[in-house]
Amino acid sequence: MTRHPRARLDPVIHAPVRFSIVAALAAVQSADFRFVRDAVEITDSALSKQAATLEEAGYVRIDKGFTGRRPRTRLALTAQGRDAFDRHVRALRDIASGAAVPAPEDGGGATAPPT
Amino acid sequence: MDHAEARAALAVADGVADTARRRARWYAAWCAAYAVLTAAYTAGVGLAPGPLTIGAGSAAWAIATALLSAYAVRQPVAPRHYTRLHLTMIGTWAVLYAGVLVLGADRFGDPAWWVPGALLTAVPPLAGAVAALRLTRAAA
Repeated sequence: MTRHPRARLDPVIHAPVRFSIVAALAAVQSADFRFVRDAVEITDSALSKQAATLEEAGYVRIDKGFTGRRPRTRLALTAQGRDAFDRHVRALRDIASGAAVPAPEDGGGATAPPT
Repeated sequence: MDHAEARAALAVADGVADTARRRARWYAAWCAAYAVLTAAYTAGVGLAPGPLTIGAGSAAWAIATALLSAYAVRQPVAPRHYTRLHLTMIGTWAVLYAGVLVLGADRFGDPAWWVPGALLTAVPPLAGAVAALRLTRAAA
């Protein structure tokens, strides 16, 4: 059986803002809250909410600390989050290229012709 | 989600990722500065040993490394594999620096030992700079 790659999209990462946050974090080891906020162009409260959702899913680690007297929050992808992002990006690339591939339960194999 | 939406999502992700990688390039400059400092300090101490050189050189080294550390902890982005890369770089540098110093203990003032020795201590941070540039290069 061949499933459309959209079935492999990660429901947590699929939301555009969360996808951008995870994409930013996937490119680095860790990043400041404020940097991510500016890179993704959202508000503090929006990033807090989305980061909490990603943390609950086990995709993002949130570390709070201080640099001197200044409070500092750093975000980093977990190994689980990185795997989920990689799978999500592969599914997006398959959709973009028009490919339909066998679902993992089909036992894998060659990419089927575009649907 | 259709083809166009998928392509648009991937383009947005690439843009955000490139922004993050660019911001992580500071570590390459940090390593290059460290390479210059260690080469200058090692050559200075080895070629002109004496209380003044060692005292002033050590003070300058301490101030410079403190400034570099302060700069590093204030950076908003750490490049991928930063912890492993930095520990490998510093560990390798420490071994080479100690080796140059210990083996050159009876050759103070000899340029044939201290010039290559000073340059050798700069190799780990220069390799770190190259690795940092590769890690922060935009995805193909």
